[in-house]
Amino acid sequence: MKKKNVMGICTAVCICLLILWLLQALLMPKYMSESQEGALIAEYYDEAGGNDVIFIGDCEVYENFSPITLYEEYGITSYIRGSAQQLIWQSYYLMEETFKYETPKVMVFNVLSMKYDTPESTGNLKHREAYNRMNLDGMRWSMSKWNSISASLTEEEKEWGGNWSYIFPILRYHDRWSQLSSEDFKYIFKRDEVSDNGYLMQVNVKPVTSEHVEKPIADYQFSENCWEYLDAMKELCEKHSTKLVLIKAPSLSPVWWDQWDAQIEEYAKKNGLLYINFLDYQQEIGIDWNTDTYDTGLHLNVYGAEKLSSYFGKILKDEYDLEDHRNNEDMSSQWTKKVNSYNERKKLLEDIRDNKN
Amino acid sequence: MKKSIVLAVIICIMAIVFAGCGGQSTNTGSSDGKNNEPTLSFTVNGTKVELGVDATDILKSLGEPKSVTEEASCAFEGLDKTYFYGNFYLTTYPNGDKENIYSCWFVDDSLSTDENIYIGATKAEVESAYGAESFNGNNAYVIKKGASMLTIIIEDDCVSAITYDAIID
Amino acid sequence: MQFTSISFLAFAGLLLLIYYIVPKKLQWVILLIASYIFYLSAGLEYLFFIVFTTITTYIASRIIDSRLAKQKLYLAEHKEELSREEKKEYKDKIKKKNQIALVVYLVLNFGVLAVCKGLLIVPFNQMATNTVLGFLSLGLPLGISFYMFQSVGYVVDIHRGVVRAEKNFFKVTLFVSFFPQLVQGPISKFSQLAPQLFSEHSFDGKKLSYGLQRILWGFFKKLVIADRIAAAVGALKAPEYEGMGFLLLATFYAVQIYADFTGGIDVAIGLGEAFGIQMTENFVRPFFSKNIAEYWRRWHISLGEWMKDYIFYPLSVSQPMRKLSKFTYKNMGNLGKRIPVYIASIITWFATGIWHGFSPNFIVWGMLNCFFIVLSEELMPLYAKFHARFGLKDKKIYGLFEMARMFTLMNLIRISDLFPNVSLYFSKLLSLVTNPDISVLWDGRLLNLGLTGLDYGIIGFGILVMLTVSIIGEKKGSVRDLLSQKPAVLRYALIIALLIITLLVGSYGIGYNASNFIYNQF
Repeated sequence: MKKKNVMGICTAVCICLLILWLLQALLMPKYMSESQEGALIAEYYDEAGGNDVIFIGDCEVYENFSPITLYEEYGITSYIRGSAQQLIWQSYYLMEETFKYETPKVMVFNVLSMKYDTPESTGNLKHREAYNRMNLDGMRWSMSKWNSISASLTEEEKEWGGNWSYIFPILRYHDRWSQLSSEDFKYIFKRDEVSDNGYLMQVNVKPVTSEHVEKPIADYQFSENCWEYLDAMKELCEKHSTKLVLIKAPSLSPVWWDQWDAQIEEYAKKNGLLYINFLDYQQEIGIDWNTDTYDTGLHLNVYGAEKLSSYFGKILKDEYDLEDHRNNEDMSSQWTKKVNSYNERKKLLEDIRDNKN
Repeated sequence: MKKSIVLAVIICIMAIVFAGCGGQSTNTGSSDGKNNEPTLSFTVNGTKVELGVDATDILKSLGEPKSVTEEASCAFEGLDKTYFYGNFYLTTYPNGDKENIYSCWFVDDSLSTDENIYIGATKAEVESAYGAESFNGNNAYVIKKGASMLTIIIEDDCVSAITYDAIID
Repeated sequence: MQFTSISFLAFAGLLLLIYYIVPKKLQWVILLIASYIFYLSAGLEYLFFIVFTTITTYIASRIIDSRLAKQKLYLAEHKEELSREEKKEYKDKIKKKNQIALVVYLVLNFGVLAVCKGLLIVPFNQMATNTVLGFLSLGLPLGISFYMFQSVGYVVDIHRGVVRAEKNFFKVTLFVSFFPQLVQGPISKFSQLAPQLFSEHSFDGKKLSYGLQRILWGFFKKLVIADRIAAAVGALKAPEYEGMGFLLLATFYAVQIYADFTGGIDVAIGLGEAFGIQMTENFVRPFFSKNIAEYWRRWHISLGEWMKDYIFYPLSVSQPMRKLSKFTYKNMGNLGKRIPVYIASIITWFATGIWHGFSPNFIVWGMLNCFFIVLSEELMPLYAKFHARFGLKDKKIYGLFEMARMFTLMNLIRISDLFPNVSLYFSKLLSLVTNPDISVLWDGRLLNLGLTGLDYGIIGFGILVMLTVSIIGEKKGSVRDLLSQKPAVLRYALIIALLIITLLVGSYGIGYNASNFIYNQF
């Protein structure tokens, strides 16, 4: 009698857990059609390995660089581990996690996030929470993920369960039950690839109309907290014999102050790191702000990204002895598929854009 | 005996008079969130520009701006707007269907704060207008009022920048 | 730590595990440690107060109890030698000493509380900041209304000889700080709680299961219903809602406070049950009450009991009251006999009002309750005549009418909670007649209160579920017992369904708003 009871309870508990697991998978946002940047982090794991260059950072990496171009023109294999408004500690832990899957020759980090000392300093906290979810939900479970979550929590998140809402995302997304769409059912267990090795393609054109201006600030010094994470990144790369390259993407907004530029330059010089502020090389890159941006200069579209990648690829090739994988049979067959997929996507998006007009 | 009982009872009641509730949680929802406290402002061409308020009337009164750009952060399209009026910038943030004044900053010395501080004024003038206690210990005077903030940046003992910010959640 | 939080669930879960693994002798120690962890999670600064009450309670209880024990021994030993008067004299001497001890104890505890409350008032606060009293101006410590009343009841019970003092200081500490009842009660009697608290508990699957079911039920009520309807209650407080709007406010508030308070108590009692400890019930389907006396036997029972035992009865049987009774009976006849009781009631209800808050609306609340209780007492003969004439008493429909009447009456009294401004409260009551504004029910304003149609549907569903469970409880007894007799599949299905509904539909967390999640518009 008692054994039957215990069996019954165990079965009930298992069924309950199964139902909850299914519900959780159903209720989590899929990011397949809207907010595609949310899908980026999770996409990496299928492609992990074989990348000589890894980009880490915010939208200034995943919208401005094209790994396909780097491969096509230089045979460089790369992946962009970027996510929306990725903060520096999130970048650090992502970098740390990436080293578990592969050891690239070069890690490229976009330094814009040095301006954000804390989650609160980003301004809009509602958006910050949404960015956190996009940055963190997609990571596979590891100490890196746990630490990244702990460092990222906004006050509101801490009020509503903190880390628990990441361990059990159903606690965060439970009220999506009244907003479910067919997409939630279609993608409950699978995922479409929204990016090309981490590059989120944009084909639209919205030219720069006027200069992006920001108000002056009192203190341009980057915070202790951010310097510590930058140091940690440097040490992490040294430990793995990976070259750390600091970049500032050629985005016209947010404003990259000269005072900030100077601090990074000094840091790079002191630590023997390469630092490129692409804003200084717009002409050389060939950026045309009438055709190469989809959002008035905040980010490049695919046409601009290809130009920038072409420019940067040469630097990478010259500075670091990177293999030309076009000669490698395995790699080239893999990447040919990627190139084809990239071109198909470009055509599809351009058709949609042109039909709309 | 009876006196003691009565005394005890009276003390009990007195104490209960001071006892608080701890029981029923009255989770009666939040207030309407409207901040009716006065905020900082400055005047330009007869228009009073206040921080954190609905921008509709103010923008209308200021007339045609020299330029308007849309600011955004990562992937967030066209929400915060920046208006340029020649001698100052004004940014807004979306509030439902409308927009609210987010921040303003002067570009030259043709504008001054309500306390007559302008770009180029001396540090001494700033201190006499806002008091030494508003100095942040580094290089700026920060004045708060309601849900708004005025920052006066000092460089070489002179005012180099004046910015107004609304403090929003 | 809020009851309806993941941290608390994790804390409770871990605790249950440890509780049933450790040697049974140590179970109460585990509870003590857990209670202090729980208390400290609210902040270190409040620790002083509960420790102070614990120490004074222990000392007072031991002193009074040992005197009574000595008294008993002495009287037994000298039974033959002492005359009646001598015995009485001896007893009176001991009683007087004990009363002093009791009074000192009460003054110390309530005095500290009074000073705390006093220092909340601004000028005193500022004066005290840099003095030794500064540390007292910290606001009201967590649970002070509950643990202090529970402790006072304990010491008074000892003084009355109803109960023997617990000699183990740490066991007394546990009684004072037992965490499931710290935040919302129930206020327990030592004689009822202590034996269970300190005894050994073998793992009992049924008790654990019942306890967990009750906790789930509490979560359902609080998260799905109370926290959801809260927005509407907040909105309806606005000046523009009068008449029917005010009636709706009173009704919504009734739903909210019922679901919230009984939900919290369910979690507390359910947790106790899971530990094998049966706490006293605090609510028994109060909205089924047909008259106000019955209501107060069904709503916030432990507070009513405490007030009755430690304020009302002592007052009623005190010398001054008995003298008054004689006087009034002499001069006013039968009515006179009731006057002292009514006076005692007024004082008791005044105290009950103040317990909720030191604010005029709570006093009005207390007096209104008292008034209707007294009124219903006085009208009893009239009612009896009415029922004799019309014979409605046993008709079901009349019973429903009585319940509806009570529900409305108590809602309108209870809503004074939300109106610290008493004149506003009365003007709102008046507006029921002067400005009925019935159209609020259908002109769409109900959808501007922060609730969507879906939300109303969910609340309606929740009320239906609560009603069903209550009706079953009223007619057939324990719902869990009934459930345990059903086939296991049905039982598990219902429990799992309740869990999933609570999880999905509960009003908690950072609401999902797609527009906060960024999307490219190009």
